[in-house]
Amino acid sequence: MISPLLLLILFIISLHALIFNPSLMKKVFALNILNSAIVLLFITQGASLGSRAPFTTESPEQMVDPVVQALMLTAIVIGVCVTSFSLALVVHLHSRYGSFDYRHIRKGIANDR
Amino acid sequence: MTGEMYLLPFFLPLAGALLLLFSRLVSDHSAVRPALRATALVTTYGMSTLFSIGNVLSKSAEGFIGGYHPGIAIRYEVTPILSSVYLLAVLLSFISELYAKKEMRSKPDIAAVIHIQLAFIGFTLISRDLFNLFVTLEVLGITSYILIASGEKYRASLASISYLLMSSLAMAFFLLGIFGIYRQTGSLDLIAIRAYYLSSPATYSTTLSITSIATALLMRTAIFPVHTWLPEAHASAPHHVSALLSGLLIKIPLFPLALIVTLTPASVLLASVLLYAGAVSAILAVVSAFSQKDMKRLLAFHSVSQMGYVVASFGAFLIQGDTELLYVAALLHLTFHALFKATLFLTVGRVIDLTHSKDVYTVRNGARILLDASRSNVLVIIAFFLSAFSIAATPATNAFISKQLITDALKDYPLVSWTLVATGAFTVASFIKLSRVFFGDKSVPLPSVKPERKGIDAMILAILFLLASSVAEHFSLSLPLLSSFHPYDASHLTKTFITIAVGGGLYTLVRFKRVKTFMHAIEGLAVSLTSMLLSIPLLIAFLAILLHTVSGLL
Repeated sequence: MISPLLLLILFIISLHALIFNPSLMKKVFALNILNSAIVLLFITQGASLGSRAPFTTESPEQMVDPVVQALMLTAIVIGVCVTSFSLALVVHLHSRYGSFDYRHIRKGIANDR
Repeated sequence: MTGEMYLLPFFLPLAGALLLLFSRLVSDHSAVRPALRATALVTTYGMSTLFSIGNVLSKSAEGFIGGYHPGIAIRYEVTPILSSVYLLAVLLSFISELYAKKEMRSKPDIAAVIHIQLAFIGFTLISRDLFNLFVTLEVLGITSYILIASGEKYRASLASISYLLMSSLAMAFFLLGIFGIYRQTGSLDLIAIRAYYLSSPATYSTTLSITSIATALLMRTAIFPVHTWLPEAHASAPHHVSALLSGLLIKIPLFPLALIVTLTPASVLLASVLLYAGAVSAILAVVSAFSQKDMKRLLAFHSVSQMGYVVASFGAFLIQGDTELLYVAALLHLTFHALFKATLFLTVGRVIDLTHSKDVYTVRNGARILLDASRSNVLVIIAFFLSAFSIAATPATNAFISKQLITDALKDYPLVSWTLVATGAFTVASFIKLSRVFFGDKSVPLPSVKPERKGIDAMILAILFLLASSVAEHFSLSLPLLSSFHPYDASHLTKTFITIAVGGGLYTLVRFKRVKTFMHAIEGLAVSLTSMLLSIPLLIAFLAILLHTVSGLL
């Protein structure tokens, strides 16, 4: 069982990186880790009811919460879409300004105008 | 209309999007391509409009999608009001697509994104399920990031990724909020959750969950202090996208927000936050708008400001609960703002395209340049001035009635009401400043422009709907709900003329050097991405502490 404390640490580290790291690429990675921490939190909570997959048992007491698993599958798919598009944008900006640093890109755009 | 027929107008744009995506597989020169595009347009806009009109004329309907068990199925509710808002979305999406029809023909995938966005606007409006709302809002977010970046300019890409990061962080907290509520109530159905909290007291975890969800929705509505993503995103997007985002997309999260605010008896305190945040947003954003040099940034800040009116009115309605006038006022202003703001972006966009400049201080003779490009551009000029008079709330326009109604309905909150009146004066000043782009010295030779006729059919539609909304608005004054409201009496007209005069006075102040320096200082204020992202957790913490402290005192 994953400790909620571990998930909290993962959440705080990724939140810190997302907010304070100037690299857009690292921000995208941090966003991914942040979402994974939340997904794991849901899964951990769902597994507190039971530990078996619903199709392997007839007894509801032994099942994990299937609703939570279905929800997280959707959340993961959305996360993949957001990540792929954000990576495309970051690479597009890098191709012009040669850096992932938000401040550098912003300065470059201001100079272009 | 019966059963799931109510849902048809919301699914039809998805069929339109599929047809458009399929048309990409067909050769550019094939006759099948325009046929697929025409079928997609008829399916999305024509049939959706017909079925939505059916929904507007029918009674409210609710149920579960797919007819599954209520405990796990997605609940929906279709009401005539929500169907009217959806009709507005269909209209604006059509105008936006019509304006950029050349681009839409060559990029059917971008057109498909607009159709997908329209479908998910509908789903967001009718969904009564917490996780389903998360999904629909995320899809709306993804379509917005794509549309903003579709201009292929680097500035737009940076604005898009900044919005993406801020929005994704807010949505991560939204998901955490769902976790908190689901763990307590074991349900995602908003009606079941509300029933649960009526019998069981809300805890600190409930407050934190609700504020997390509400902050994500406030961010999408672009309300102070989480509005910082909007000016750059809407200013750097292609014109038809700016029209769609500013006119339509920022208004949609208000409807789920109303559901979240009323989820527990204690969370209704959030409505007071909406009331005051709306007023602060309105005045701060209008001052920023007045200080802008970039025409599209000026319009984008006005979107934040005008949303302040709607949110303040919505907040007051949620506090009082039984005052329908406040709800009507908010809805009317929401509708009119959608119409005139979309038109403003499209008309100003034409001037920018022809002059290749966004500088409000240097572009002059816009009207002559437009007419030089094509005589039919007279419609662009008419559409601009109709919209500018509307946003400035001059008598006989649609927003004159809605703004008077809002300030009147908020008479129990004089501070908010007078802040909105002051906002009105700055709005007048700001639009005098923007209107100068259309005038200039006739002796100055015009730059050579390529003769072209672009977006005229969109302009005709926009003008028709602006005029129709003004006429309908004036007819609506005979309704029993508005029978005691007289916008053309001496006190209202005096207030309006004083506001316009003060606005004119504010504009003349710009000539003074100190005022100019102050305005340049405001214009130069740049919000870093770090501050934008930090504002989300800080607002959640602030709201949670505020709500917990105040509900503890009550």
